[in-house]
Amino acid sequence: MILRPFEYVESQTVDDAVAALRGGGDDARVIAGGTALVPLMKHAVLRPARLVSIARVPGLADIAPATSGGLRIGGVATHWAVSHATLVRERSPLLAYACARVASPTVRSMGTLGGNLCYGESASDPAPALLALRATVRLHGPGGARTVPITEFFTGFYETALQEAEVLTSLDVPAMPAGARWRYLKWTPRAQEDKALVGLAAMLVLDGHRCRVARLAVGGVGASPVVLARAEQALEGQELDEATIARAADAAAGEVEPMDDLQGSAEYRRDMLRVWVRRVVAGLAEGRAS
Amino acid sequence: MADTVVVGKSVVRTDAAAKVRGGAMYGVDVRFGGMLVGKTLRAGIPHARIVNLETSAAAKVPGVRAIVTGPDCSRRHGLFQKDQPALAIDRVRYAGEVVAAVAAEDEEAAQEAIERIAVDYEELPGVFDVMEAVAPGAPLIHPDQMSYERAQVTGLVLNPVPDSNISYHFKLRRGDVEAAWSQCDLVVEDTFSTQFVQYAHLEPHVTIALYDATGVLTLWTSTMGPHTVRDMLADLLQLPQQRVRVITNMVGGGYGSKMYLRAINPAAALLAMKVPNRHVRILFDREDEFLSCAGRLPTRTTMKTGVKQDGTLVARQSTIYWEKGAYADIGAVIVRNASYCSLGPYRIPNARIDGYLVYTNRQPGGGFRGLGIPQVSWAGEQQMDRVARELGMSPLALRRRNILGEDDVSVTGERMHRVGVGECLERVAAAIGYERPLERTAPSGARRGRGLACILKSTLTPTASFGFVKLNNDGSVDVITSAVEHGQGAHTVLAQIAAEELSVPLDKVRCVMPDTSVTPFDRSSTSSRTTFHMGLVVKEASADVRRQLLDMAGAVIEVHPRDLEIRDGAVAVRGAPDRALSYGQVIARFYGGPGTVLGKGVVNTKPLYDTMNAETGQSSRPSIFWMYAAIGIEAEVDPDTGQLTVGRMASAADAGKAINPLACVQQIDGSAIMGLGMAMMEEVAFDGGRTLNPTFLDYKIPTTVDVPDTDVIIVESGHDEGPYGAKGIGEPAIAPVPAALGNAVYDAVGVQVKDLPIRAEKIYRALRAKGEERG
Repeated sequence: MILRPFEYVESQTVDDAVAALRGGGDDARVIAGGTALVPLMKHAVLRPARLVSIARVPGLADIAPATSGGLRIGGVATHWAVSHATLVRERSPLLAYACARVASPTVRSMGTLGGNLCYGESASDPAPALLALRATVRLHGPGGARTVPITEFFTGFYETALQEAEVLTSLDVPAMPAGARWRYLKWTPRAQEDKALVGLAAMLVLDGHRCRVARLAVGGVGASPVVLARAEQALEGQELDEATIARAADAAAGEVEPMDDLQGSAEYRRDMLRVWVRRVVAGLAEGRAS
Repeated sequence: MADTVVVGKSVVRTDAAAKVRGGAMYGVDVRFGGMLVGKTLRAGIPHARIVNLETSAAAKVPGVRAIVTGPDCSRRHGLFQKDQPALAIDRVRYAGEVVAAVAAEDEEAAQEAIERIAVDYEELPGVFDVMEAVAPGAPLIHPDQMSYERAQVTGLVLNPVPDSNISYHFKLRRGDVEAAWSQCDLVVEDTFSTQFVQYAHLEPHVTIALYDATGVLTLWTSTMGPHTVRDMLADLLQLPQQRVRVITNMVGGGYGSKMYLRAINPAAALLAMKVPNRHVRILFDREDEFLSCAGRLPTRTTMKTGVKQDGTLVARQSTIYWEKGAYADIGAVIVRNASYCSLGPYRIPNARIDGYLVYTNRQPGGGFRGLGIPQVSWAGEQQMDRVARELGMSPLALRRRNILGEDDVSVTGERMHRVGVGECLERVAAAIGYERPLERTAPSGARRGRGLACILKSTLTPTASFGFVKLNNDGSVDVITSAVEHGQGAHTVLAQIAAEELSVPLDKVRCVMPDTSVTPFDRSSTSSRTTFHMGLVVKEASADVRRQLLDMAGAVIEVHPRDLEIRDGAVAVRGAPDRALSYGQVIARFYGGPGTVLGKGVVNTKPLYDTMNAETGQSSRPSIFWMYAAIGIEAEVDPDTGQLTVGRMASAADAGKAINPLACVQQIDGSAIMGLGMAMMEEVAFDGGRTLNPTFLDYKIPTTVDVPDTDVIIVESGHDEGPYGAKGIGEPAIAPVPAALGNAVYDAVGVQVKDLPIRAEKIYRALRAKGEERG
């Protein structure tokens, strides 16, 4: 349980970081907060020969307004910074709240939003929020900059669209529509400070009782965080009565591929997703909880 | 009792300031210049023959100074049955077993050397379940157990069963259980099980060993029992006890874990003996703690209870299989002491108990806060609620009808006195409003329920403890004992007693840290025994100092000692308060210069102990004192998810007399909260012999945000022999928690979980099954 020797590169620019990653090949890793990477190194799951830090690249932790009314959040902004920024609280309270639910205070103040996403953990708290918000991921690699919709970013069990020597530089988070109702439900039945068994992000825009926009995404249930597209379809354009909400909950339970682990069985996860989609949507429809 | 000044008052712990400021010296803080780094190699395979173990490549790593393996020490150790090698010899019996250790100039070299040790194993069929282990034809984990050396222990007859994995069978027989069942109006029987739980103390195991030029082996180690470590190491290494010196500093949590010989101690000692005059330090990491140390023994208990229609208990029977893992360690005492308490704090005329200590190929269990009582009360106290339900009685009324009181006879045949359990039960019931109506449905839709449980627990008996109290020239006092401060507040309590007896301010008293070459023998700071045993020692040693002071002062001022008294920190002539001498003046004038007054205290509980009958488990005094506790819980269950939320928890324990009431509250509260962890979330998960969750990411313990509102109640029933009537308080409140919570769950939603922990998914499944049954 000791860190093996490695080379540490403190990058001054994103291009420096990309070059250092290319130079290191398969044995190079990006480090920012280190809250996921360092424990994996201590357990010898990963043994990188080179760590390329992007934590001190000027501007990479910035949180700035976008002209569209949304936000641009730098990849190395910490969960603490995101959850406390007035700008985020005003323009994207769902994301601010999800970041406030990450792990424990120590992890929140060291771990970064970009690191959280690049780790590819299914039970990520910000991931479902960003999926529900339809954020865009900005990456920078040897071929220059590119963008990936976050809905295409998570590709499998601890796998992402991040390519070799790429760095997540920022996220574009669209503004939440005026009057949007939202909730992030982090359900941890075992202990409060645990990974989400169901981490459900929801945003609804209603016209009276009719649902104009439904955005639902969940972490912790399957191999990676996912949008609950069929549940969204079941709600959009519909009156939010009990039967519609139940149909959406069933659709959500039907479209996920849950996994067994020590926290709970796949079947239990599926059943609990059904319960929480029903409760969260019903709550938002009634104007409770946001 | 005369009025006391310091005893019985809530005082700030004497170690608080240093701990809060980060300055307290724990075992992990001890460092020496030029220390070698020691590391251990775990087998990683649960049951295997070691075919070949090759260390030559490791020895060539630059900086490596010593490598030890099993054959470096051919003897075995064990508290009762000597079944455990220092490091595995020939055979590996659990995956975390240490097969080799290395000492090197730095951590990197030590780690590299460990990785270069090559071991060839021939895998053997493993046994990973207690019932499989006792089934006929099960692979034998210790085929040679009948030939092992066994210690002679008063009141414990070791009786391993030949050609089996059973190393001890405890029996209790009282009345005639078989005849009694037919006299009962109701007989119920259930089987319950409990899980392997980790101690999760903050400070890991750490040992620094030095073998010096005079042939003395010194260990600085984080242990709750320095003399036990000394005795066991001396025996294992065949060294005289005065050449094995064990020094202990502040211990960062123990709970029973840091006792006896975990692999870390012999490994460090053997390495140090290969490189004389170099300190070798081994620090276990969290994975080592999970894999190579110990935990709470898993159990499978079948409990049967027979009652009259009015609730009177007629007969009770328990059969308990205790999974001990690979080595017996303190197992026999856990099985004996917890089994004879398994039927609960009740009058039971007909009783039968069988407790079996069973080897498996998993890490050895150890003594753990509550020593088996949480496991057995999980069965017994849930069954009490079932009996009450089937009789149509209140669970509280059923307990009231049968609970032990003054002059009642226990199942071991002891006439009981100063029995605080009834008061504990009544006060927790009142605290959670057990007999008041309950709003059954919470605003959230969750269902509410309440549960109670109560227990009794014994302490290690017989034992002996010794200590000194030393009065210095300036009137300050050193308390010289081997009591270990592992966070329980023992040093504050002992300082309070010395301050009280010698009439000096608390801040003039200091408890020294244990050092087996200096501080006298004490078995261990475990079993909630320190306040009682060491408290008596310090009280007696202080009285000895007082007597000597009066004699010395009498000689100095030529007054008969009986005309002198100790008052306000001075020796004064009775009726002539102006004729007083400070302690320093007495010493200076008696010796014509500096000196000291040294008082001695001894406590020996053997004369009060009645040796337990090995066939019937009968003893008129098996324990020098009894601990009693009760828990009351109000909880909510979400019927759609099974989620369990504890709203309130009231805990009560009988302190006899609270020497430091604030510390008693902290001990009871901490113990009960630890019980919630066991009840709700803590579980070491296995795939066969492989541990699946050896990290705090996957093994959860309660954090501050998980703790409900708690009410803590100190009951003071006194004790005829204890110091000021005090007895132990550290353990009992953990024990009733799982059962109380199980009873609250049943009260809320009508399902019973019989295997710990009570996870939401289990409640959910039980609710689903119940729903399907009803159609």
